[in-house]
Amino acid sequence: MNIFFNSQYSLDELEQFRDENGFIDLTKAGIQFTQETREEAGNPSRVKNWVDFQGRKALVKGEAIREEEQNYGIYAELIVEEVAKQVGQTTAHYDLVKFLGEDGKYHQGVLSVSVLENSREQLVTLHDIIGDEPEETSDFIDTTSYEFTIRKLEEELRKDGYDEQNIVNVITEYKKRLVFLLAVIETDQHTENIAFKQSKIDGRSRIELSPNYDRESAFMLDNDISTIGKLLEDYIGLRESVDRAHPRIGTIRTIEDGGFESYWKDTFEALCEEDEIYDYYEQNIRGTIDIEKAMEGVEQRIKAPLPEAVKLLVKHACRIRNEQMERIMDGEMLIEEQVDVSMLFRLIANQGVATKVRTGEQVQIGNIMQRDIVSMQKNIEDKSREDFTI
Amino acid sequence: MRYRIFYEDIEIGMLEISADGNQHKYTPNPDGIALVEDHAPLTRKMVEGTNGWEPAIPFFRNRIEDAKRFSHDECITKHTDNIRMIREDGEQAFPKPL
Repeated sequence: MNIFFNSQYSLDELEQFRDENGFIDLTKAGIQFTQETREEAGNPSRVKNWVDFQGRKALVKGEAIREEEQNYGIYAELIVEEVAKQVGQTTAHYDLVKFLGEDGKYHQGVLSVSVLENSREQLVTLHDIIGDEPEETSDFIDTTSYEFTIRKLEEELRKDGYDEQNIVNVITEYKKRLVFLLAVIETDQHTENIAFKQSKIDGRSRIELSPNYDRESAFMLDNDISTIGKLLEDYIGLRESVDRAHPRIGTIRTIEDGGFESYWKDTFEALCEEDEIYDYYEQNIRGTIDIEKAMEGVEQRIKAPLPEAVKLLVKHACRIRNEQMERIMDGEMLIEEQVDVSMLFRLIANQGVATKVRTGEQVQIGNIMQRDIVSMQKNIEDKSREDFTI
Repeated sequence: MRYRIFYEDIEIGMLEISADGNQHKYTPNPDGIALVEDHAPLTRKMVEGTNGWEPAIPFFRNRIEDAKRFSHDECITKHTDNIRMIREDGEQAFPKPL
């Protein structure tokens, strides 16, 4: 039994089977899937099979081409790959593919090259390590608390005997990945979609964050095509949708606690409270993402233009999200839109922005100040209400 | 339900699963562990075993749950894993290592 289909072509040689829309026709390349090549994980309705391209293993996943409810998620995988390269994130390599399914229908999807470098490495998901979060600490259904993931990951890695420096490094890389995923508006990074590579070198266990993979929900491209069309006709609607595009690992803080009461914004701020993560954002992400260049990179690779709606949505969604991230880091996100804070707070916040000296510690101090001021104001309001009552 | 656990083609332990699936008892096979421990990135639980019945080990539970969705939980051979799980009353033929 062979659990990989052995392709007679290497990945580079597949280029000859690319069609005018950028899709490599795997059926023309003689690739056929069997029960054994099928990956038995994830969604049973989606075809996922493993192919060995002359020594390089790749997962092929796709769905039958439908007239209804199509989305552009496959393009998100390729665009995120290009963005990851710009900001120093390791990433799996993706390409567009199509193939004839067992049902006789053509499927479209992506080919994802294995992130494992040798057969001795073991890929484990975050979920494999930390399991399920107890219901009492989870903020929302279908999300996992960021704090839980950090605490449990540290605990489990320590139990497994990894050295302290290795644990610190891998958790820092994990936090940087979360910041990156916020910047590309990824809304499906659940604990199965973040993984680690385990290996044993000279008898010592090592663990590292795996390259980025499975990002078809990024940049809002998992919306169906008709919804994308509507978003592109309504800029305010698009802004609101980007603002409501939340991660699946995160945290939320009340305004009284110095937060935004917004899952993605509070997660971003919580991550950047740590200086190293703040520096990563400032140096690697802020102003670094050139989304149009990333899309040009994809078009060069697939030798075909991306659909116009994809380009427009990604360009605008990326700009909206990244401007918001910048405003949060600059202390310019208008808290007063959500709560009437005192002039004093605004004055202090503006001074911080003017000096342009911001660190993770300052983000934290800012939050404490905000909490104190909000709480102080609340007391004043309560007092005046009492006075009025009297 | 019990699964024999292999690293490539070497048996490294036995996993027992409670009726409700929420508890695991894992017993390592010292002879198998000795053969692979220099190069196999095994967790401490896979090397030392559980202390009797314990809450389900996520690594194993996730693989069983996934396989059940596809009705193929007799022989769990995730493509990116070197670890295989063979249900004791399931398929006996052992797949070739990667």
